[in-house]
Parts: sequence; C-alpha cells; structure tokens
Amino acid sequence: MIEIRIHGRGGQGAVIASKILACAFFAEGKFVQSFPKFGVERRGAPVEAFLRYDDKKILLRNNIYTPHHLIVLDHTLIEATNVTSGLQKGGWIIINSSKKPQDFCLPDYRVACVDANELAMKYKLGSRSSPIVNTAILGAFAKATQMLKIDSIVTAVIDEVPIKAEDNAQAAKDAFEQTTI
Amino acid sequence: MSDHKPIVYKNCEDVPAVVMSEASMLWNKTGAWRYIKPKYCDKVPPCNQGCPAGNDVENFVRLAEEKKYKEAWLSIKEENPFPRVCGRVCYYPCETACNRGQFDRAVSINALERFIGDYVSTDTKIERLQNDSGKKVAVVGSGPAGLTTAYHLARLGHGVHVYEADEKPGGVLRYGIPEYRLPKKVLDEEIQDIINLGVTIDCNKKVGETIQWEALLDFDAVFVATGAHKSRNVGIENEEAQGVMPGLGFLKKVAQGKKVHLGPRTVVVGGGNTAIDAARTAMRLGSQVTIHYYRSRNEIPAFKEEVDEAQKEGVHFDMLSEPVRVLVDGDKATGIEMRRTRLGDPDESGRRRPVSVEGSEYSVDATTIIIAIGEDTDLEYLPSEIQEERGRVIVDAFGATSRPGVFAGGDMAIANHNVAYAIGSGKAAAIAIDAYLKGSHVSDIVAQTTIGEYGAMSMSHYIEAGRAHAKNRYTKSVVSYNDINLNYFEEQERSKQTKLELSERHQNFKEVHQGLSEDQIQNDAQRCFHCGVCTMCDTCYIYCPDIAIEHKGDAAWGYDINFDYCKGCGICVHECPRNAMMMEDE
Amino acid sequence: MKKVLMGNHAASWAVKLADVKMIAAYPITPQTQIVEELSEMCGSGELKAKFLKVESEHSAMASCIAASSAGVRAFTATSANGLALMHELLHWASGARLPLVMVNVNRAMAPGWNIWADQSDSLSQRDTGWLQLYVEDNQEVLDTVLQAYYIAEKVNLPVMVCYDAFFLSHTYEAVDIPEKQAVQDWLPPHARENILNTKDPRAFNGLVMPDVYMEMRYKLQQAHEEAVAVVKEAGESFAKAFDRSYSTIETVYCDDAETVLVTSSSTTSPARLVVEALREKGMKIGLMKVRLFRPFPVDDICQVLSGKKKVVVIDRNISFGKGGIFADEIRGAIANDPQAPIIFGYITGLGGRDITPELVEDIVMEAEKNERPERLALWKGLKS
Repeated sequence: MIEIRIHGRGGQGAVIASKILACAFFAEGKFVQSFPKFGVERRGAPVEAFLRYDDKKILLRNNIYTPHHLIVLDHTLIEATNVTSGLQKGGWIIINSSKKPQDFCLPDYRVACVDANELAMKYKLGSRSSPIVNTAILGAFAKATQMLKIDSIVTAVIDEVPIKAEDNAQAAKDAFEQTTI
Repeated sequence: MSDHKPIVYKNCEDVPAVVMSEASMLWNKTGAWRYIKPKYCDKVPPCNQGCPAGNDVENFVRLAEEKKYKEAWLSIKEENPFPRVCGRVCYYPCETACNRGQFDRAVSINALERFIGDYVSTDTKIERLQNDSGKKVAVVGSGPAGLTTAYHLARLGHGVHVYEADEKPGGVLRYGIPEYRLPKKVLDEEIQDIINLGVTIDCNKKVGETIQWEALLDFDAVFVATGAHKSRNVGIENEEAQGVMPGLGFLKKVAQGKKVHLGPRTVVVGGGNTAIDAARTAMRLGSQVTIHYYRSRNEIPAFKEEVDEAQKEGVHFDMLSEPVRVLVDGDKATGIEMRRTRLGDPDESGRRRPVSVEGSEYSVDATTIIIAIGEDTDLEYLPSEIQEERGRVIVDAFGATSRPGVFAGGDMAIANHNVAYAIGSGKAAAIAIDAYLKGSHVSDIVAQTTIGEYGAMSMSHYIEAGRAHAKNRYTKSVVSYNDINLNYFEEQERSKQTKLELSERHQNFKEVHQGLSEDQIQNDAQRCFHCGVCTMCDTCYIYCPDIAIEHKGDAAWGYDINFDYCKGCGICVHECPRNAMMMEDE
Repeated sequence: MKKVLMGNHAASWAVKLADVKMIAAYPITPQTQIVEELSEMCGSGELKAKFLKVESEHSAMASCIAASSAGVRAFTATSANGLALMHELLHWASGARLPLVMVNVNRAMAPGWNIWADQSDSLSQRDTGWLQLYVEDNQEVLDTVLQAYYIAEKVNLPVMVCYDAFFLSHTYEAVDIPEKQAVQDWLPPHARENILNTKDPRAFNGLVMPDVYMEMRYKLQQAHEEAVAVVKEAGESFAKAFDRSYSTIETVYCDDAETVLVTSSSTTSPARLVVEALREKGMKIGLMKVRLFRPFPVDDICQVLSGKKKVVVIDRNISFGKGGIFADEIRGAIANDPQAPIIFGYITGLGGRDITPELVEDIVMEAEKNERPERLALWKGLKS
C-alpha cells in the first residue's frame, strides 16, 4: 500500500487533487481511498488531504501518519509548516514552485518541481488572487513518480473537474512536460 | 365503516397495528349532551349605527371587497341618494364608530364610498320600488334633506314637486360647500338621478314670495327643509360698511360665478365650517387671509381636517380674539379692531367660555371682512300653527310637525347641521310621509326602522324588500370592540388619500382630495372586521369538535348546524372573529 | 458502474435509485453533503422528488412522517444533535408504523463540540422503535440504504442507516452503483394500505386507551422480532440481484475460534486486518461484525458466541454509568446461556479518535492476557 499526503492552502483544491488522483489510480485497477484532513477548513489556512492505493481492498480507517510521498501545492508551506513530518525516506516531494529542486534543502527525499501557478495563469484556472493549481501538479506527480500514466491523470481530470475540464487536462499535460527533477 | 356502535377489541389479533380510526362515531349522538345551542345571529356593526344617513356601511364595504362595485353602489343608494357627495363632504362619524379604530386605525369608509360612487357614476339607473300611488307631495327646499325626501318618495311611487328659491337645486351643497371640496359636476350628476325618478324641481320659487304657503296645501303632504342660511350679525359698530360681508353670502356669490373683489387682505371672523370654507375660498381668490376666533384652536368647531388644510394652504389663525368694531374710511371698511380673550369656565357645551380681556384692543388692516359666526333659520313663511322653538321647527323622530301632513327636516328642524344628518332626516320624513299617505302610524315601526339602538332610520327596514341591512334587519344589538375576537386580525396600514399639492391650490378651485385607487380600496375593504356579520370565514366550521357545522352546499349562503351532534360547547361562538353568532337556550 | 464516491454521496445515490419522492433537508456536518447532492439531483431533474427545505431536524422528521403517512417514500439525513432534536418524532414515526428511511452519520454529541465519529448519537435513540443498521464501507452505505427501504416497507417500521463520520462520510472509495432498472426490479414501487386517503377519510394516531395500547406495543415488538428475518431475507435477495451479500451479522474465522472480537461500523475494517494477522500467528481468534443493532439479532449472536472462551467488544460509544453499548447488549442477550463466554467491553475511538490496527491488536492482546475483565467498561487509548 502506498500513502500520499497533499499539502495546500484552503481553496487551492488539495481535496479535489486527492480525489482526482484516487480516480486515476482506480482507473489503473488499484483499490483507492482518499479523504480530507477530517475537520474544519478555512480559506488560505494550511490544509492536508490524503490518498491510499493498494492492489487489495484497503481496510485502514485512520489517518495517514507516515506517507510515502508528498504533494505540496504551495512551496511557502515548506518553510511555514513541517511538511515532511512522518515522510518516509526516499519519498517524492512534488512541489508547486518556479524554483529548481536543488533550491530546496531536503536531502533525505527526491524532489520535483513544476510552476503550476504559471500554468494556472496560462489556462486561466481560478483567479489571479487564487489560482487553481491542483490539476497541473498531478501531471508533475505522474512524471516524477512514474507510478501512473499521464493519460490516467488526464482522463480523471476530465471526468472530475466540473468546469474548464479540457484546460485543466492540458495544464496537467504541460506540467508533465515541464517538471524538473 | 360501521356507523352504529363502538368497536370493542376482544383479542390481541383484532387490535390494529396502526393507530387509525376503524369506525365512524356517528352512532354517538353528542347532541344529547347539549344544554344551550349556538345560533347564527348577525348584529349591527357600529359603523351602520354611526352613519347619520343610515347607510349599510358594512355591506357596501364587503361588496367593494368582492369588487362588486355596482352592487355596493346600489346598496348605498337604497338608503342615500348622495354617495358621491357624502364620500366627499361627510365628516364620517361611521369611522369614529369603527371598531377597527381601537385596533389600529378605522377603515377608510368615507373614501370607499366616494370610490364606489365615482366608479359606478351615472351608468346605472335607479329604479322605482313601487308603482304610482296617485299621491302628490310638495317639498320646499332642494338641499340634501329635501332632495333625499323627494328621492325616497319618488321611489315609493309618489309624485314629488320640489320648490327651490334659488336658480339651481342643491341648497347648501351648491352654494355653501366650495367647489374644491365638492365639484358641481358631481352634485349635478347625483341630482340628475333624482330627477330621472320623475321628481320635478321647480327653481326660482320662494315660498312666501313667488309662491304662497296656501298653494302647498293642495298637495297630499308637504315637506319643508329650507335650511339655515341667514347669517348672524356680530352686532358691532360699522358692520354694515362696504367690504363687510356674511360668510354664506360670500360663498354663494363665488359659487354662482359672480365676481367678488376682496382686495389684498381678508379677515374672517368665526371658527365654524363656514368660516374655514370662506377663508380657503378667499385664499384661492388671491387674498391674504386671517381667521379670528374667540376661543382657542382646541375649541374650534370646524372639522379638524379642514382647519389643518386651511393652515397648510397659508391661512393665518389669530385665536382668542373677538371683534370690537369695524374701522372705516367713509363707508368703506379699512380694518377691524379686535380684542384679546382668555378662556374661562366651561359653558353648557363643555367648551371653555371666552372672557374679554379689557384694554387689549388692537387693530387689524383689512380690505374685506367676512363675518361667519353662524347661521339661523328663516321660518317667517311658515304659518303660526306650525310650532317652533329656539329658531327650529318642532318635529318628532320622523320629522312630523304639529300640523298633520306637514313634515320638516334638515337644518331648520334638527340640531346637527351637517349633510349626513340632513340626509337622514329627509329619509325619516319620507318614511313618515309614506306611512301618512297610506294611513298607517310610524310609531308602530320606529323600532323596526331604527338601525341598532339609536342609529338613523333604514329605508330597507321600512320597505322590508331592500338589499341593504338585509342581514341584520331586526336585531338591535350593536357589536362593540370587546366583542371582536382580535386573535384573527393583524395590524394593517390604513389607505391614505392623496391630496392636491399645496402649490396647485392657488387661483383655482381644483378638488383637494383625490380619492383612493382601487388597490387602496381593496386594502381598506380587507381591513374591515365585518363586526357582527357572518362572512362565511369557516372559523366555526373548522373549530367545531363534533363536525356538527356544515356548509349549506350549492354555494348557498351560511351554515347549517346539525343538532344531532352539536353538543352546545360554544366553541364556534367563542371563536367567531366578528361576533356573528350567539348561544341561546334550548 | 463503478465510481469513486464519498460515503455521503453513496447514500445520495441510493436515495435516487430508490425513487424516493420526498426529501426533507436540514444541514448538519458531517451529513450535509447527502442532502446537498440530492438537491442537485432534484434540481437537475434526474430525481423527481419534492425537496423540502425545513427549519429544523424536528421539522425534517415531521415532514417525512407526513409524506410517509400519505404513502410515499421519504428520506432525511442527520447527525448527532440534529438526531437528538428529532427524538420525540422518532417515537412518532415508529408508533405510526411508517416505513421511513433515515441516514444518521454517527457524530459525537456536544458539548464539547465535536463533529467526528462516535456512535453515541444513534445509540441514544435505541428505544425509539427504529431499526438500526451500522455499516462498514461506502459500498455497504449504498447497498444498505436500498435494503432499508425494502425492509421498512415489509415490516412497516422506520429504518436508520448509521455510518461513521469522516471515516466513511467524507472518504472516497470505489462504489459499484447498480443499474436503475435492476434496482426497480428488485425494489418494488412503494404501495401500502392505511395511508391518508381523501376517498376513505380516517383519523390517524389518535387517542389509544389502556385497554388497547399494550396490545399495540406488543405488535410493534412483534414486528421488530419479525424484522430480523426480513433483514436476512433482504440481504439474501439483494445478493441474488447484485452479487453482494448482507445479513444481521458477519463472521470471520468464528467456527473454531476461542476468542471472538466484536465490532461494528468502520471499526470492523482494521479488525479484519488484525484477526487475519493473529490467525497467521496461530491464535484461535474470530471476528463478528454486528450490522443490525435494532432489532438486536439475539439468536444469531448467541449462536456464534455460545461456548467461546472470550468475547472482546470494541465500542465507539458509551452509555454513561454502564459502559459500551454493544458489549452491554451482548451481555444481556447471552446472559441465560450456560455456555456464555467472558465478555471484555472496550471503549475507544470516541469523538473521532483513530482506531488503528495497532490499537485493535493491543485490545485483543490485553484481553487475551487477562482471565477476566477488571471492570465492565475498559478504556483503551486514554492519555496516560
């Protein structure tokens, strides 16, 4: 079983990202389980969402404490919160940032970056004050981890995103190409 | 379902799983439990009793609410030939009586009446009720009392000949009430309804001058109603000077279209309705106007609303001042010397008596001085056998004078000098004359025709065929505010008439009150409690715990009470929002 | 069609498939998404039902009672304090024998305010005459709401479907959504007697005198007793139609077990992992999931537990002054059995605290170590 934790800020779409990723894994024949951090949410505040996938039925009914991989929708969270808490060594950290992976000092982990803000701007996803970056970053996740096909991400985005589905899918595809590892 | 006996469950199996009635309760004749029983009993609404003209107010309000304006108009016309006049000039004692006034504000009955009259206008013809009797009645004076008598007598089948001293009919309605309160066109149209019934109005015929009293005795009966239009004099020095004129005389000249030159400053002496009408008329003719009254604003006898309008229009008020003498230059008045008064002890009318303050004299410049301190009757033309007292003809409740066959009404016979009372007295006399012509005695029908305990006479009660007052014909009981079940009513704003802009009221006689729109009429008609009159609101029907109250069915009016089941609990009577039911002994 | 759905939307889908005609909605976390999704379904026209926004949960239940009295399928959902506010009307619904279905997303009672998983809300409504089913995953949410209508309409009793806040309500899992036609074939259109009918007017729910009331209560109890078989029958026929089987309880490795772990709701999932692992280590342990709580399937439970050495019950709930409610119910059910096992009642996971496989194993091993429980209510996971 693989456990993934997504860090974002309220309104960036972390919960939807975990659901889309669950759908993508499900399409590839995995058993999935995704959930938000149980509780109350607030725009702009740090939020977390979770995802498990496995080849057999998932019987855990508890929070994820030691994820294998992270997705970080806002790189400022790396300084602001302890995002790597419990992260297993060697795990991927997919960061939404215009910086390069080597700019982050995360020696125990593999880091990949993509400028999802720019892609959100390019495809007019969300607003300038609140770009929606959750779909683009999944392209980077597929690229870096190679745990699933970009096509599965694209299909899941088209199925699950209620508006601008094609633009979101294109942002994920662009991210797949532009990810720096 | 079984109607016949209560079900008794003998074993567990029979008991139903669901709590549900399995049999009817019709076997249980709860009517056997009854000691007293409810009864539908319409009572007299206070507005009906309060209307001096005897309108069935509640009925026309209800018909208006149903948008049956023509029926509403006919209901008024049953009692009163002047809905459009009254809807304008009446000071609405019905609204003072209205129970709703104690709840929030009275229903706008006066404006409703005006709307109904204006809405139906002259399209509908009034029918005679009875065929030609062959009897002839002379009516002297075509003011509201005389014309009302003529109207009702004509409807009752009698020939009516009206003698009018002036060149046109209407009396005080035409010559006393200014155009801005009562347009002549409205008056003419309502008089035309009376003429259409076959009434002859013979103008320029003054009894004692152009026609002699004895000539009237050829008629089967005579009704005299020549009003009170002899203006009183103050009795001060130079009162006869040029530029001093009586209030009614002034109003009459203006009404006749004669040119009246007032000059820049007019003084009006007096505080009655004539004084206010004269002041507002003078103001419209371009003069500056000051009203002098010897008591304070609290004691002023004119209608408060008229006083307020006069003030808004720019009429000045100099209260607590009495005239001393007219100041003259030759035979021409140049002003008036006034003296301050103060209020002393109350007089017999309850108002505080003015007391002169010696040495407080002061002069007021004036180009015209209008004296409007009251009017007296002129009874000189009447024969001595008709008894008088304090300037009024002595009459009974129906207007009968001391001479058989001669009746009197209006201002010359009754104390309340206003249009609605004049109409009421004219109607009472019409009833009495009809009874007299048929050889019966009105004393037998006083109780039947009086609305409520002390209201006006009802023509519908008298002829027993009318539509008005039909639902409460014989009851005397008047519904009070405490009789209303207020739980069923919510406060609702009273509709307000728009009035002519103040800037529009100069140099013309456009009507000031603009009436209500149909939406406003509907709003106010819906505010009516319908005191004491069943509206089939279904409250009794809904509340009856024994389902003993039933609709009559086939859209028939009212309810039946099934006394097999009515147990006499009285909930229907208790809940009736408008006191249209009562309990009575078995 | 398989779809990744959150537990709440699995409930909404079931309501849509059951062709419910009246939905009374009043929001409360963690339930709100159920009626939110239903409002969209009604709004788009895919579900032709009256969507009634009400001013309280009390009114929501009253509306359902009214709709059901008129003979249509009705639905509402609530949680915790919302359910508590319905209390009086819960009695009314069962006393009037109305086949209502309600989802209660199990949430802790306040204060202190807590929106997380805890079964004390619905278990406090134990004696209201409603059937109660506690379900383990999102698939079972959908399947059980459908079965709830089947059961309710057979026994004329209201059914409450309960599942854990967030662990199911907000968690996305793959759910197999049956075809509409298949559901219609399996769940016949609702039709019953004794409904409000203008052509046959009757008074409902009026005064019942002492000479009849007791018999009516007896019949209500009878209906509950009969409902056990109906729940099984519903599960079996559902299995035939949709290939997923359900019953009053579910057992794993119980036949030769010396110790049986008893769970309900989502706690069953980690318990499965623990039992599997301990079996591999050679321990004679089994698992019993209690799905039907009211009526309490006494016979089914006793048959499984009679003769076992130890029974370990995990309760995410508490009856203050006594202890875990499932443990207590089991004690009461098996008390007269001469071969009754020793029963260890553990309280844990209150107010949404995680129940991990490690915690479950800790509970089992502690019970294994002790001959008898030290007291009726044993607590696990308290801060030391």
